[in-house]
Amino acid sequence: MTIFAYNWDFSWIPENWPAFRSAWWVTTQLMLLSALFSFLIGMIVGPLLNSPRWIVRVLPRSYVELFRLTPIILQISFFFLVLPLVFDIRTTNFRTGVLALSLNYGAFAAVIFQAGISGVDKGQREAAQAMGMRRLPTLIRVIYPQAITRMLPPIGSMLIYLNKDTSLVAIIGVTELYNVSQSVGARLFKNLEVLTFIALLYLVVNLALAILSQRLHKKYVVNA
Amino acid sequence: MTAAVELVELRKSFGHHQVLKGVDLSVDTGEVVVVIGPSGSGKSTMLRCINLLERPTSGTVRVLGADLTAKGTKLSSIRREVGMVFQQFNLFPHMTALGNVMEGPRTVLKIPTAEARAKAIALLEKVGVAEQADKKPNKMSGGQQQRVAIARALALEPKIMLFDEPTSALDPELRAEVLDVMRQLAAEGMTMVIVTHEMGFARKVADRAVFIDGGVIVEQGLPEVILRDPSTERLSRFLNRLFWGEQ
Repeated sequence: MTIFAYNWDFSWIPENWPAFRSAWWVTTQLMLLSALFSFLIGMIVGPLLNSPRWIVRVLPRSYVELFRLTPIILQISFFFLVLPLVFDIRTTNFRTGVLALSLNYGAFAAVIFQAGISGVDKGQREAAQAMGMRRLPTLIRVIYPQAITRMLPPIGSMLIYLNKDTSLVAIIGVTELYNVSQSVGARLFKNLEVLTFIALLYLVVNLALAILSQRLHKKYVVNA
Repeated sequence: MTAAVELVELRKSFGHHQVLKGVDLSVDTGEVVVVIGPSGSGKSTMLRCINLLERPTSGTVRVLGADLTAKGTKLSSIRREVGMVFQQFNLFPHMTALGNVMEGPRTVLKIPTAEARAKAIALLEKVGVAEQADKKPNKMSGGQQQRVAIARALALEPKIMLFDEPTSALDPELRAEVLDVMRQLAAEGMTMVIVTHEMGFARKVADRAVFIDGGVIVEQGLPEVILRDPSTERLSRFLNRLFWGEQ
């Protein structure tokens, strides 16, 4: 297939598919694990950001700003170096990648949770308090179920950004999609085709995520 | 016998604005007290101080003998003895009517689910909305929602019930069904403190009416007496305005 001056050749795909398939799986695992951990971080840190007492807010706020306001690629390299050199922790590059992505996206998730929680009518918390419900059950049983439905669109975009940003851990040698595309492309001299191909693989997942978050938003918010 | 609720020298300020300027009130067990007053008079704030949804700036709140304003008092254990019904119902929108009523028994009293369900169904029947059990609040009328809210509060078997303008958000024709439930509760001997503008209800059901204006109790007494023949200028002006509109 020739488009303008370039002769596109995709005949290498069947033969190299196993390598891409396992790299795609690594990318998906990075995304799912980091999504899970950043969600947990957001759930814990988010409500603290709303505390009326500054002493409670200062640490979570510092964490959020530190990770929001520095480049994620810097954070990834930083953890890659700081874990073995300073803390003498030797772990896999995959785990280091999950750690960096989770902490970075945890900061975003915290802000999303903070906003979602503030959006819940304060009468809801009062009703739970008046019943003698303690703080944690109130959050889990009353506040979060209502906050999370409102948070669906920002969570959807967060997951999409996260899925794309998993490619950044290629720099610490995790054999995810982007990393594998570089090595396979260089070996075959088909860099352009390989990039085009993995772009489609990212698109497949992200399109599904985008549609899913739209659908859920419609179901729980628009048509509720 | 100790009073069910006792407020002593209660003061509450929001910023520089002093809403309660020293309120003393004692409610006996089984007594039904209606609190009336113009908007902004502090009557809702006073009610919300009884279960410490509002923390008083100074003064003492004693409920069933426990000093809620003392340091180290376990608020949640006292609050379950005090049911509250809000103007805007504040039902949990993601739960059905039944789920709303079961929530307290399950999470606060830790009663087994089956038992909590049976209890909730009985309470929904009591307030006359059993057929709404599986509906979410947004599929119910305001009157039905408020009755579910009353059932939700009763599910914790409170000794005292607080009502914060329970019929103010309702269309006039839906008010009666909520007031009927409240009247029934009063007849059963529940201790009740009710902030309301329902003068007919106050006369027929309450043991005492308390008139608050400008953050202090201006006048109180038998509803039949003080609502017909107020002894203070402020109460008679308030009642006039209430019946005849702004003059």
